[in-house]
Amino acid sequence: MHDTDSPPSSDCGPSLLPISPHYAMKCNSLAQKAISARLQSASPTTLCPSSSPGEELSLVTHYTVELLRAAAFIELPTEIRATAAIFLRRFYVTNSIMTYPPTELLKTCLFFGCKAEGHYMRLAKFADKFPNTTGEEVLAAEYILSQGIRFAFDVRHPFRALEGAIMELRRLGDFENKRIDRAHGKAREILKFSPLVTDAYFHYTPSQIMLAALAMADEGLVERMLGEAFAAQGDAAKDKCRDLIQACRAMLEKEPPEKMNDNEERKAIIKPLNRKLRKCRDPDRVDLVALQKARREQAMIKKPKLPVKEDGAVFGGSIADGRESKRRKTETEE
Amino acid sequence: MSRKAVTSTVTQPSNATLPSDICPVCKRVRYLNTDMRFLINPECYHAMCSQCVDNIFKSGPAQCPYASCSKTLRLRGFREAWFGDLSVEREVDIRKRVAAVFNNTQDDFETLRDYNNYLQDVEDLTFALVSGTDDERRKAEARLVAYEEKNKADIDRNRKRGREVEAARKKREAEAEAASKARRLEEQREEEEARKEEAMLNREVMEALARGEAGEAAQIQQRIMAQKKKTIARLNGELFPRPWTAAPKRTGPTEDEEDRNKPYDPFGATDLDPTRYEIHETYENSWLDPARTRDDHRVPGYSVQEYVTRAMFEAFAGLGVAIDEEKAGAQRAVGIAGAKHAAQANKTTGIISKTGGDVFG
Repeated sequence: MHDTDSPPSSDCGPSLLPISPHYAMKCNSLAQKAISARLQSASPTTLCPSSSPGEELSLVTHYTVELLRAAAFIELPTEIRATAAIFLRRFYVTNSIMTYPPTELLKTCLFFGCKAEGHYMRLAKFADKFPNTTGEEVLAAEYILSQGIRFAFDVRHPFRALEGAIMELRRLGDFENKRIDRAHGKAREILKFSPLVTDAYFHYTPSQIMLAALAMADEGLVERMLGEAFAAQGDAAKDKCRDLIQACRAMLEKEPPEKMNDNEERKAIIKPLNRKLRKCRDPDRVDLVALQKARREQAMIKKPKLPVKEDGAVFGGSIADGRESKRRKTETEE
Repeated sequence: MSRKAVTSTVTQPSNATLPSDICPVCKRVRYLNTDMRFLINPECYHAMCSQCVDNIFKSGPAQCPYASCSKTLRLRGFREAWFGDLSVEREVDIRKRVAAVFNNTQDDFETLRDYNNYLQDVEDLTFALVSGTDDERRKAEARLVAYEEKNKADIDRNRKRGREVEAARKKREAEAEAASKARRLEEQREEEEARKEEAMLNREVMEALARGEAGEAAQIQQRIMAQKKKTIARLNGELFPRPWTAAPKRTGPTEDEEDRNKPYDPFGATDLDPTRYEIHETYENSWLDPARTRDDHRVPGYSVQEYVTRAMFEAFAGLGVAIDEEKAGAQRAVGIAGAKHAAQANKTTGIISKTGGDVFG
């Protein structure tokens, strides 16, 4: 029992909490409050529109897709793409998209994903691959990102789990190889996209995500797998697991892998949102490079040192003082 | 003539060793005489069996039966050799004799240098006796005898003093031995006494109970205990556990002890065998085949089985985990507390880290 239930959720890191409407709303309203106050103080005449939580979510999804496309563009391995995408989503769980610009963070996430997965890439080389990007820009948000994801850099992916499941299915020998191969390919495509642009990583364990993807590809295979896995544990546990997988599948089906290249529809929705975002974003944090510089400078200014205490202070004031007062006392007595 | 001049210690150096099986004189074999002993005479250190010694020397002094030896030996002089190597035996004998004559101690000299010179002289003389040429040996022997003659009184005095010191040392040791023995006896006696007292207390309680005195058994016990307070206090100081006040006896070791006695298990007796799958020897996987079969794909330290184990683990791990259920409480706690904190600080970043939630929870 231990081995199979102990591993944490695929995304145990920063969120702990799945993105819930409740939480997103809090985050969103906090950002709104802060930003609108700031905007009004800067130019009281400006009307400040703000994104709703729903709009924010679709923006985050959009930029996650953008991230995946960018990763494909610079030909990163699958795991790094996935890690970077999850970093971005984790970051925007506790930060509003209005606060930090997603376009910059997207590149930082990719760069940092390379680091986290042990795939070294020189910063200059990385920056060269994107138009109008300097290394400084990529690095500016790095610490903010680390902080935002609470320094939890480990992401558990379902990719290897899929390989394990396919090996097990082959070993069972109940299905034709062709069928397994087809399901394998399709499930891989799904895993590379759907869980990353939905909240699946926050809600389900890697094996559940994997089985959900496999279920989308071929329901029969999953049924066989579950029968095998829960042979010793009874139907109740099996049914519960099946429910979880179905729920996860429903989530994944909202973003099938075909949507990856379905630009037109997405752009149509995103364009007005982006326009709105540009108006309501935090003016202090638009230029992350300048922000970082300012912070560094602030850190450089040394705080005035506290006056050094005398050694005698440890014992509660110097001895001389006490003597003085004593003497005075005797004087007065006289 | 030479036989007269040479005294008992000054003998030819010999390289002989003690024979182990065959007597060199009568050629008897140990196989037939299991109790055969070999004796030597410090005159010439020639070994022969005890029967030969009896036969040859019983009727008085006779010449050594060895062909090349012309020494006259007596029955009295024969003894068993301590060392198998007879040259060592001889050296030890010589040293004993020299030490008996040159028996000054450091206290007899004014300076350390004098003492060291004396020791040097003695050693030179000893060496000449042990392994010098004939001439050297003779000279050394002459010196030894002359010294003995000259310092007879001193030698005797020193010997006496040495004996006294030795006697004192022996006495000291005997005393220490006796003291420790007495201590042991005393301990035994005390133990015995304590046991007796305990038995007596027990008996008294039993009798009181049997008489059916007023009060409960525990009260009776307490009363008797109060009477015998002094005795019990003394008893408690002994090796014995308290018979009355101690907690009820546990049979076997305590839980804590049991825990400590167990071999260390880093996983706390967790069963690590997978329950939802079994690892098999081979899995059909065309991607893994090269790593398994082709030599140019093989890398030291990489095991295909390792990959397989990991993949299988990940495929089945966490299937029974329902995150939404598990985190239902956590979400509320962190979310609201974090939001509140952030609202107060007017900040939108690092909300959660400030609330002190567990990063890796």
